[in-house]
This record gives sequence, structure tokens and C-alpha cells, in this order.
Amino acid sequence: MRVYPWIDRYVAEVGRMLPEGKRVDVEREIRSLLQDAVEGQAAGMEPSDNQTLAILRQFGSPREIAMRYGASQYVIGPLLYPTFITVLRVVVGIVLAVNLFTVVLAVAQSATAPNLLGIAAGVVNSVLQAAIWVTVVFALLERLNLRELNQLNQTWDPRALPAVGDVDRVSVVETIFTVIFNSIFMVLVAFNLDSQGRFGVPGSDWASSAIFSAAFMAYLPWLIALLAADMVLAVAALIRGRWTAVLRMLAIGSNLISVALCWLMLAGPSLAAWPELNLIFDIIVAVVLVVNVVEAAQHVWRLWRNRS
Amino acid sequence: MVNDFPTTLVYENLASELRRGLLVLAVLAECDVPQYGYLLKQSLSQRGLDIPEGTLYPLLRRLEEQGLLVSQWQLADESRPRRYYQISAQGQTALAQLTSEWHHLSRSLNDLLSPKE
Repeated sequence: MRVYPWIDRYVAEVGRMLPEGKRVDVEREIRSLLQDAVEGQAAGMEPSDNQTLAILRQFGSPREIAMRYGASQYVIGPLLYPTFITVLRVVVGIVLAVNLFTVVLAVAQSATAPNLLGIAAGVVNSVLQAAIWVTVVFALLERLNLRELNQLNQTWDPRALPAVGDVDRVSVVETIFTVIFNSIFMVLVAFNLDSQGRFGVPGSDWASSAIFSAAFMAYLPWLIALLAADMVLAVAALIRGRWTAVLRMLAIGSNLISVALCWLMLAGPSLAAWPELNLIFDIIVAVVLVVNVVEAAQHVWRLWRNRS
Repeated sequence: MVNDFPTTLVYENLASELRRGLLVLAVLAECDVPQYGYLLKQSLSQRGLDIPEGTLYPLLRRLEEQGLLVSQWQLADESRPRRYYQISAQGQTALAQLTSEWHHLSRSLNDLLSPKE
């Protein structure tokens, strides 16, 4: 049996981009088709590399072939792309602005010559983390969206159209606002806050004095998880175009956990490292608690109204 | 305003769009006997339908996924497997409907394109 190294490379490259379920079968088929074409071209002679390469060129680029055999074309598709770009710009812009402000403070307060290279690396790292975080969330949503689209029934029922002024319809502006606010908060607390509750630029030798107490820092993983859940639910609702019963129930769950967390934070030890900030932090947590109670109540009321 | 987009490119895009719709009909008609991809490409080419590999081969799979073709692997010479496609019962029904649609369209378009008196 003849060996075709160029065909092996081509098939492997196409296979890399195909969904796992059909990869082996499509690879086998493309290999067989290419071998037929190469041998047909050589007409009984030993095919040359140039003949094989010409056939591969004629077939088209591995990406194009993979797409035609059902590979996903996009990391983030046209449905989510405009929202993705808006969110990316705002999140990266704000994270960059906060970091630059911190750098100015660092330079102004430092008695010794600041390590500018370290600071610049820290700022770049923080901005990159923000961009990567937003991209990963949107890429995951794209995968979820594709899977759901593939499962959609081909027959479309106009009676399923939502009424004009439907309260279940998702507000794009509200979703973008949620994603932007949550991403910025998550990136700043995850990358610019150290374990002692001090704010600084990662990689630089400067940090503010502690702002948050050890008690607040213990709540941080929960806060990040809840913000991530809130963001994913908001975008999932945006993709569906409306708040479904399941999404509402998940949102109620997230709201109730947030209420419990806020309650614990208010009842527990002080959240701020400076006593002067205690009242402000408590007020912020109380406002978040009230917002979550109102949101949960809204979801419950709309669920109940849709059922009755 | 004059559109300076190359005319040949516009023509090629339009012609390829026109052919793409008819490709399913040609493939279903040609798969009345088991055919493997390369052989099918050759026989369509001999009939004046030169279809790029990147279009024809994925189409065979799509038609199989839609139940219009069935396929099976068979060992060819030198122990190399080939996938043979043949029209299914559902494909036969679709072919009959598409053929009738083609004749109807063809008549209408011939009428439309014939010189006006």
C-alpha cells in the first residue's frame, strides 16, 4: 500500500477542526477520496509530490473543507459578536484606566525609583486577563448556543411568538451592563487585590495599604462565583431572547444565595480594614441585598403570572 | 454610480449560485447505482458538470444525513476502503419531486428568456 505523507498531514489538519463525533469517519473518507484523486491523476505511475500537492490545493484549504464537513466556523458567532466587542472594549478600557490610575499613585507614593518594567508587565497582564476572561465566557456561550440551535425543531410555530411588550423579553442594554459590571469587578478583585486585601498592580512592588478586612477576603470566592453565575444567566437569557422558566428558577437560586451571603457579611465581622470605610461597605452590601431581594421577587412574580 | 466590481467575478458568483441549487438533483440522479466520490465526480464531469471536490464530497454526506442517500464502506483494490453512496427510497421520492419541479421551472424560464415578439 502506498504512503502519502502530504495527505496524512492534510487529513490530520482537517480532523483537528472537526467535531469529535464525526472526526474519524470524515478523516477516513477524505483520505480515500484524496488517494483516488492522486492515483487518478498519476494514471498508473508513481504519483509525485507535486501532483499530490496540486490535488490538495484543488480540494481547498483544510479550514474550508472542515467547515463544509460541519466544523464550527466561529469562536464567537455573528449572534454574539456585537455584544462581545462592546463588552470587551468597555471591560478592557476600564481595567486599563484603573490600572493606570494605580500606577500613577504607585509612582507618586514610591520613595525609591519605581520598577517601571515590572509595573508595565503587571498592567499588560491585568488587561490581558480581562480580555481572555471575557473571550472565554463568550466562546463558552457560543458553544452552548450552537448545541441548542442544532437541537431546535425544524418546524417553527408562530404561536410561540412573544406578545408585544412581553415582560420575559430580555433587555440587551441591561445584559451588557450586567456583563460589563461583573467582568470588571471580577478582574479587579481577582488580579489587582492581594490576599491581604491590598490594591495594587500585579508584578509591581507597590500596593495600597489594606482596604478590605480578612473577613471580606474570605467571602471573595463566593462573590466571584455568584457574579459569574449572574453574568452567564444574563447572557444565556439574551441568547434565548427571553427569560424561560428554567432560567428564572436558576436566577432565583442565585439571588437567594446572594441574599444569604450579604446577610452573613452584614452580620459578621467588619468588611473594611479601615474603620472609616465600614459604614460605606455595609451600605453597599445592604443595597446589593435589597437589589437581590427585589430581583428574586420579580422573577417569582413573573414565573407565577406566566403559569396562571 | 458606476460599480467597478469586476464583471467576471460577479458572473462567476452568480453562475456558481445558479449551479449550486441544481447540484442536488444531479447527484441524486447519478446515484441510482452505487458510486464512490471520485467516480461520481468523474461521471458528472463527463456530462459537463464540473463540480469542485470541496463542494461535491461534503454534499454527499449532507444528503446522507438527510436520508436521501445511503452509504457503505467497501474494500477496493490494494485493501483501500471506499465509501459508496446510493439513492435511498426517500431519495427516490425527492428525486421524482425535484425532477418535476425542474421541468416546470425549465419551461417557465425558457418561456421567460425566449425573444419577445
